[in-house]
Amino acid sequence: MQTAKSVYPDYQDEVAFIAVDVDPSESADTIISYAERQGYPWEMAVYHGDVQSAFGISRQPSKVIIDGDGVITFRAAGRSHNAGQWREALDAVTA
Amino acid sequence: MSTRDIHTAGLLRLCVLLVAAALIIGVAACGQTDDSGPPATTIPPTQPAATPLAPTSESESTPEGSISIGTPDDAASLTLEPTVEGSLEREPQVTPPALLPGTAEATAPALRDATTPESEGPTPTDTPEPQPPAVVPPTDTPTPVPPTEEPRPPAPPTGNRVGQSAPDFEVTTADGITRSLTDYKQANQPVVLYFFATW
Repeated sequence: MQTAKSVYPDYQDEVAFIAVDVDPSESADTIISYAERQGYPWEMAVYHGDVQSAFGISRQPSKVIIDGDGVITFRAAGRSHNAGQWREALDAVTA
Repeated sequence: MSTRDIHTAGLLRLCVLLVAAALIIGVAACGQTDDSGPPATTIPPTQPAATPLAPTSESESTPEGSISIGTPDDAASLTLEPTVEGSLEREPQVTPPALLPGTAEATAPALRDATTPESEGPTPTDTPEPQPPAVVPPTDTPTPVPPTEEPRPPAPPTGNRVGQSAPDFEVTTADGITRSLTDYKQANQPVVLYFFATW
């Protein structure tokens, strides 16, 4: 999520960022302390098995970008995406 | 007595003259058909022989004479005809102005009336014509609204792949705040979902 944090300031006013924990064993406090340590500025959500399954998430980390009309425009899994790929995906929904 | 004779002679002469005059008048009045008898006596006796020939020709001529008489009558009728024509000429002279103003006025209003119903005929068509434009704007006003709405309604089917409508989700943040896709869609705001774990 460090790459996402690098581009977040440029899109935070237009795009909502929500991190959803995929581990049901992790509590809200664990998540909050983790976010503070990593310096993640966005909202952190606890485990939601229904949402995870609804989006077909089987790996972590995974990202899904939804445009203003609610249509999925981008999805990827892993840590292999650089800042440029993030910006390209975010520009597609904010342009 | 001589005077009496003279008187009688004068009377006789008068009578003869009267008879002669009567005969002449009779001949002249009765025509030549009756002349076969007396005129043969008065006029030459040869004429009776000639008269049968002549009467045929004369009878032909008399019909001609009658025709000639008829012709003057025809001429008179012809002369009368011109008078009738004159009357006709006068009539047309009178009638045309009477007809022109009368017919013109009558025809003109008739034409105006005819044109007015025709104009009324077109006017209903004209009135529908103005009505269609009146109908067009409302159609235009609704039409622009649907196209703007149409792009939104034809939303792709719901799924978890790119190009599909994201399934509506509702999550609770570690701070206890509920976030749903419906809220972001209403705000027309894109969303990034980042599935993670602390490990």
